[in-house]
Amino acid sequence: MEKEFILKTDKDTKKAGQKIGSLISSKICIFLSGDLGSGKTTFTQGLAKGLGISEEYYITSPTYSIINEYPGALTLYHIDLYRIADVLDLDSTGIGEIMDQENAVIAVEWPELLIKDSYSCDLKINFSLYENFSRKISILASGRMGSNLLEKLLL
Amino acid sequence: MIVLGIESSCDETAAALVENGNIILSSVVASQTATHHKYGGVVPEIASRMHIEAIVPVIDKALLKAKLSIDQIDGVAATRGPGLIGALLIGFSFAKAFAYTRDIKLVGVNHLEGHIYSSFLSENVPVFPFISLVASGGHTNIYYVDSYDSFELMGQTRDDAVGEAFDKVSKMMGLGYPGGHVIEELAKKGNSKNINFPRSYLDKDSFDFSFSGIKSAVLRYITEHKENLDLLKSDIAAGFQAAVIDVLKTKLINACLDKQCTNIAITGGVAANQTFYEQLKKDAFKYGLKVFVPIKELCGDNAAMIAARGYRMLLNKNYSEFNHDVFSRNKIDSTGLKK
Repeated sequence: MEKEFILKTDKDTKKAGQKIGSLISSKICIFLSGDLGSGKTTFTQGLAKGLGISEEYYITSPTYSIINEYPGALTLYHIDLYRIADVLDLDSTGIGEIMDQENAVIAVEWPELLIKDSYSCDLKINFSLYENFSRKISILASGRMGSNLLEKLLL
Repeated sequence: MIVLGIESSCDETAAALVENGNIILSSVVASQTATHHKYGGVVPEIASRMHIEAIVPVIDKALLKAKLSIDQIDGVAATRGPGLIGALLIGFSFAKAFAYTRDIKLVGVNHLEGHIYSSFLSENVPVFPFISLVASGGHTNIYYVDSYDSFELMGQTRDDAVGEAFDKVSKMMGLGYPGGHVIEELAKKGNSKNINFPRSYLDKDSFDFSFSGIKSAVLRYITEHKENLDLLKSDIAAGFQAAVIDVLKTKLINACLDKQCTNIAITGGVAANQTFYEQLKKDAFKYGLKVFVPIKELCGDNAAMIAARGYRMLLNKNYSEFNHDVFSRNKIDSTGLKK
């Protein structure tokens, strides 16, 4: 199943993340693709809010830290593979162990290496710039859980 | 007391030998294995295996440069966090094994406290209390430092770190990644007044930062001016840098006035930006404030700052045990949490 949404502002991007976060109740893996500045981290800030992650945490860009972890009912792992050069380097980040964890929400920016390494996700969200600097997101669900969630999603 | 410092929290593998907390006998940073990245720039290889390969040669080199033998080391200090777990583990585990076999004390150093300590490794050092900025690709934190062991986090970034904003703007203009230095050089050829990018100060009283908005503003400008981008690049770089520096300056001077102190120490990779330092110095002077910056080699990640912080922890008997673990982010008082 696939759905598309146009998000006019940063606020809308955050809201989309929040809505998806509020629909999540068990382990899920979300791949976030799109160019620099297309809204991936902003989306994840909303996702964290929807998941009920304490607002005491700032959801900051993981570009340098690679993995940011936020405790909650479900642990949020915010991952960015922008600086990882190849599949060999993936191992050294510990991502494999995170992908195997239960009770985790795993949001991965620049997930292309994981895809290359045959990892799959429940939701694949593609961010792109649209007319008048709004954003377009297309969400592709795979598996029953992802599809059920996407079916319920109205923005 | 001679302390061996080890740093491996992110990209760099580094070792240093420091005497009595402020005399650098040697400081070695492993040259980064640069790989050509699929996204067009050159990025450092951040694999743990690079740290594994580098750690012993780096320590050997530090000993050689300091003309010391291994049994002259009195204590070992290694970065315990925050950072990438796989990378941290290499340095910290090595330090544990080293301390155990040499029968010397081990301390686990907070990477951010290490950066603050890089200010104590110069001839001119700030006096307590002072405001410290740790600004790099991964951090933008303002601390109030009122003793060797007291660091109050006053503000931090809510989204992107300032160094990251530099790197990403460089990438958006097709100038490679990372690109902090490229932007600074290019900005010198441009006019910072030609393009007015937004300054994000957040709440008036807040010492927090947000650099995500300016990143989007630059992206928007680039998209709108695709046709003659080549002619505009230097003005974009200058306008972007000026906006970022304005925010950093304002927050730092306000923090200083708020805490009634007179010294500002800037550290981290962004502190190596000469334009930032000069402009901050000029504005701070108007308020009677003094600005301190470490030598360039000590701005980025290094192990001398870890040894310097470690020396103080050794004096305080704030030792690490062999069952201590590394941590990816600070639990309560630093990265990730509001003050």
